Amino acid sequence: MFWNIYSKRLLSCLRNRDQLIWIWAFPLILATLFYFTLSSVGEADNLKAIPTGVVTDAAYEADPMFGQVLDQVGSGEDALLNITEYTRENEADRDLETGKIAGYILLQDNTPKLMVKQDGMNQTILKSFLDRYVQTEGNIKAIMEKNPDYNLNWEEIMGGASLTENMSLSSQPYSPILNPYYGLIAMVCMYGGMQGLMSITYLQGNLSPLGARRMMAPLSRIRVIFCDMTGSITVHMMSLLFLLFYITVILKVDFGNKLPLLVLTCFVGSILGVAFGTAVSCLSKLGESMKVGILVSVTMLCCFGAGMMESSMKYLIDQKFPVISWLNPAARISDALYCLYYFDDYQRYGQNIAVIMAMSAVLLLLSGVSLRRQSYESI
Amino acid sequence: MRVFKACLLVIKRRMVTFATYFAIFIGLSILLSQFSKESFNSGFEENRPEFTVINRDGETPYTEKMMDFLKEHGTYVPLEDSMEALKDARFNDAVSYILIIPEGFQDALQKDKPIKLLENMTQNSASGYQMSSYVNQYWNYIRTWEKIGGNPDKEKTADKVLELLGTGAKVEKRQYLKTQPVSAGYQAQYQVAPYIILVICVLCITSIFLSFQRSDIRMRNMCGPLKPFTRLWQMGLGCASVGIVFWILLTIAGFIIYYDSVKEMDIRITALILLNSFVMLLLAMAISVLAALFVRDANTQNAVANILALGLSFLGGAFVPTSIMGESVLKFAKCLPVYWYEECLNEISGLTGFGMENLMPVWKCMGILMGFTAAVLCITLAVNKQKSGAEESFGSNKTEIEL
Repeated sequence: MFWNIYSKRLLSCLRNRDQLIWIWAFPLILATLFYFTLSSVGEADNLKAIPTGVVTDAAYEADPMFGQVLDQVGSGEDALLNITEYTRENEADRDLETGKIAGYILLQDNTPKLMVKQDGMNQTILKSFLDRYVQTEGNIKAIMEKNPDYNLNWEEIMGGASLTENMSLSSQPYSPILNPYYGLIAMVCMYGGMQGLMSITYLQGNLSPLGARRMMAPLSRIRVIFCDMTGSITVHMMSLLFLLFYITVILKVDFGNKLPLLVLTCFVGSILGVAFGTAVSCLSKLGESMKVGILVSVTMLCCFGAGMMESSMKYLIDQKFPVISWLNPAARISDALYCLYYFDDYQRYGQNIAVIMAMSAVLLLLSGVSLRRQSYESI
Repeated sequence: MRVFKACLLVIKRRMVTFATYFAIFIGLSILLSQFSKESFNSGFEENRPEFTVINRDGETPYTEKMMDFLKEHGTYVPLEDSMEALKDARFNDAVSYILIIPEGFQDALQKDKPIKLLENMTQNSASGYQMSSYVNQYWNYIRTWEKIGGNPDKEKTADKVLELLGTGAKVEKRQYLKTQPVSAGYQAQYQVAPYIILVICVLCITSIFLSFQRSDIRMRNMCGPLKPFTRLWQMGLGCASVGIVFWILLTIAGFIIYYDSVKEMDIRITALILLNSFVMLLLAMAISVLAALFVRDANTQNAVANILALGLSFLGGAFVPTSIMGESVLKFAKCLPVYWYEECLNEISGLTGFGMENLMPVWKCMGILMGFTAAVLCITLAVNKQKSGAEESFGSNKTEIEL
């Protein structure tokens, strides 16, 4: 009996074209789009040689020290500036206008002046470099005034030795592209609601002819529900595993090396999704399209809070409204995946899994209470 | 104008779906406008990376002044001294630079091998480099001035260092236009506009075509008194009217949300942005007509609308700026129309004059966009020609009395 209901449920899910599009194909397309557009996001803030103009007029020629400093920062593999020399200011100004250079430097009264067209990181670094030049000059003068006998060494002139060292926060590298993928997996878990909704629709006599027929079958309701739910969770888990395989193996996105726990997270996530759909279907007397509408809207809202559309949103809600964040199922799934990647212990991961399981239990309990001893006077 | 009226009726019946999409888009625009309430500043403003400092060495004048100095160049985000809080903030980009002052650092400053400050930032990141330079510069100046003064008063030394670090080079921001440039919020709204234009157009136009493509309606129309050309013309008018009404609503919403910045902008720039979005609308309508030839039911319609709009917008640079995309993705993106829309928008936003030389890149991008529209229309005609001869379109039906 179990195999009969279970296999029929699997077949009916796999032959449902709508579900194939939204649960199997759509996440794959989104993952591919994320991959292509986000793969270089980590390099957006990378330090590159800044295209800079220098006006080599008479004032510049009169200050050879400044020229030497520019040569130093503008040469070598780790050059900070990519310098173009201009004999006239209007030539530099023309290139600034067309965006060929981020800014140009000219000397006025022995002091460097920076000309820029807009604000930005490159322009800020240029300003900071010139500030540092002016400050170093001022520092040397001040030291000489205070203590003319002070033996200023070259290291001090150049700003001193490095007093900082890099510290790692995790055994895994920081990756700014993972949050949207976590949000996507959370979305697919929540889309398990469609499976739950379909299960209940096909189990209730007032919702579908199939439900009416099954209500009359000589089978205990709890066994039918159990077989149906197991089928729903199996199909949904298959779609999640397929997505996980696609992201980690085909797209080669690094989710860390805790694959079994990753699968466990997807499994409890898919139970939560199915339970969510079951509850929506059982607890409301709306039409099927309205229920689907509620499922999709709530899923999208939860995924927005989990950082699928805007990665910083999850952190923002975590900080400002922690209770809402803990009650958001998509945020818990996303957070569990994040903990697996970035945390070396399992404490917070365990808390997330416990919350997801508790949510599933509550939703299934509510559905069970609603379905219990249901009978129809007329359909 | 029966067909035209029927088109409007179809749209009216699906108005709730379109209104929902539009309302969500406008809602997000309003949210964005609240986040990006920037006031135009004619002077130069530094980029201010978010940073946090965890001080395990106790508060002294040195650390207090360091905080003052860093706050001048960055945005301080207070965080508790726990690994979990630091990890969360870094992973979610709430801070781009973390500095930890270890215990005993200030006492060991004058030693040959001082205790090092701990920092965390993305490797090779510009903002991290920037903040790290400031930290190193500050503590090296403190070190030097402590050496010069023997055992000086910490407050005075820190003040002196802060005074030295308060000097800097002059910066002048060139303004090539007399009016204000395009505000970031207004530009952001038009940057993501291709998505909503595509979704609404595909949903509207495929809805109209779906209704007219039903076999019973087709058969009834084919034997009706209305000429096929008149019917097509009225359908086209219906689609165009819906598209234009939506475009006007989008424009009005943009004006209302960003009224303060739009009124200060050069009217020619505003006109060019609107023209660019109108060309995008034409392209979206052409794509929608092509999509309508393949859509068979409401579910496929939703899938096609979302996948087309998301795909073209993502890869074209509507959601992620093209400036941070990889080289190979950019090469592919250049084959997509939304890329040229975004390029055109960037060119318009960066205009410094209205001479032929300045406007040439704008016309070039718009021309390419028009070229895409023409190409899609040609493909549509070819596909339609092929499909109209197919059996499903009754192209091969023969009547019994035909000789």
